[in-house]
Amino acid sequence: MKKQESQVVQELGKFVQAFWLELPMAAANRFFGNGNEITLRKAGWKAYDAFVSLANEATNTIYANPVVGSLTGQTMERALQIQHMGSAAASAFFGNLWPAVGLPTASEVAGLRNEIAALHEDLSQAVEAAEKEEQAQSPMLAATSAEGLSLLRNGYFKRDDREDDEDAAA
Amino acid sequence: MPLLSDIAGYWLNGTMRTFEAFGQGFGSPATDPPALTPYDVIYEGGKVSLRHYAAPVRQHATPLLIVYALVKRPYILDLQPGKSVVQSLLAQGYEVYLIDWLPPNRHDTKLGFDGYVNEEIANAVRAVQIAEHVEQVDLLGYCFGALLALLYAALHPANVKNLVTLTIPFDMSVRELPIYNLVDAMSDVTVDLITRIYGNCPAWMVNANFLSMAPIHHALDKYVGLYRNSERDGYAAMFELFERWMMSDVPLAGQTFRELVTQLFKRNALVRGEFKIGGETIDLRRITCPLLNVVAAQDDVVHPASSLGLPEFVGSVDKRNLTFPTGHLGAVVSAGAMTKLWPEVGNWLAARETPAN
Repeated sequence: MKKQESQVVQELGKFVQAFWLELPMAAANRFFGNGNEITLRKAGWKAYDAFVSLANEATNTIYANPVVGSLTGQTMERALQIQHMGSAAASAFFGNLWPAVGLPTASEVAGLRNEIAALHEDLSQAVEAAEKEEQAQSPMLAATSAEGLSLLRNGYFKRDDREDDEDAAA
Repeated sequence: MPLLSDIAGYWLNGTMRTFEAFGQGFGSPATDPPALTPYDVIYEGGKVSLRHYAAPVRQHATPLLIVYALVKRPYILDLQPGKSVVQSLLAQGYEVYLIDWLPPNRHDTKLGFDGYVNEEIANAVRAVQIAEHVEQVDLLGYCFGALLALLYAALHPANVKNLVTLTIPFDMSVRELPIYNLVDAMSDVTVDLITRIYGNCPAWMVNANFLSMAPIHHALDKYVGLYRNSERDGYAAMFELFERWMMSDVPLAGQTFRELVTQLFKRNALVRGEFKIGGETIDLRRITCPLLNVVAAQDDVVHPASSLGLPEFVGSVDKRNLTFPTGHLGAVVSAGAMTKLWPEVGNWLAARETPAN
């Protein structure tokens, strides 16, 4: 802690020198035509760097302070406790309110979604089974399968052709 | 006043980036920039996506597995041409594998060090052993990843040929960085509340911790730095990429967060020989392979004093610290690290290597 404070004092000294002595000096020199733009700019950035170093050391000193640490810890704990209690109360309140006004709870919606997904699957399986059955009953559709090809070879096409010819003759 | 308007513009962009990160939940593999070095994912399971970067000319028989940290995305190790640890190692002839940790979700709240070390890293090592037909791998861990690699080496010493730890947070009793005093103030009740409310330690909380390490830098100085360096070639592009990475935090699995804060950070259990994984107390003397402990002298995330003591605790005969004058991130992106540090790491490994056939 003492080390931190001495570093702050050291950085403060550098800042005072850069900002209150060197920068006004460079500005005055520039104003009276003795210095140039570059020297003034350098003095300006030096003052800025000194300010940043000072601010960093000051922040570190604040962090190192046990009172600040303890306060931060307590504030964080209190904020989390409030948040925890708030979310518990909200879930208790809405958990009872939702069914009372006839709205489903999140778990009910999730259950419903699962049920719909299962129904989708059942439906697609049923459609697939129906298609297979249809294929088995129709030789023309079955022609796409190996079994269908053997049916074709056994003259189903010829029979169909014959039926067409008979229809035409009639 | 172009100075003020430019800096204000940069600051506004930065603020928008922070809001965007909040909106999309910070880091996820989907928000990574396009990969610089091509790779294949050779294994994906649990929380590991294992990348393989093939060396253009392989010179070493033992593959090198990089264990990346659990926080933020791993593209910092392969950021830009000339600023890539992966490319540096490939150019030295190493076959490189990298563990890209998949962010934990609400089902991973019970995932602790046991799961990460004995299952996730163990699976990744097994995948490398199978892919390369080898019995041992070289392990290189970065930051938190170095801690995981160390724990793996202690529990499975037979699988590790050489171990390189880079900026490892080892001795957690070191309080040289003032921010650690704030973490100290976090009670066990607070840790318990965080895991009860969120399940995992949320990404925004991890990010806030990093930002609060250097608040002046993140609130002002980095934008002023961008203005001052705007004339430098490639600086703005690098800044954008770097900022994107800074916002790429991922949640920390609940149990891991709990063990990290309560056991390692607050009780320094690993150094005291009291840290248990899967019921087994970690004995670092079981590590007998060569160890190179790389320490960044100006590290402002893991203080050098926290890393320097590691070699004293392991059982290896061949062990040493390599202190390099850079910061925590400079060790993986700075030009100096690319020209000096990584060739030195490569040479250290090569001296303990079998040349590839």
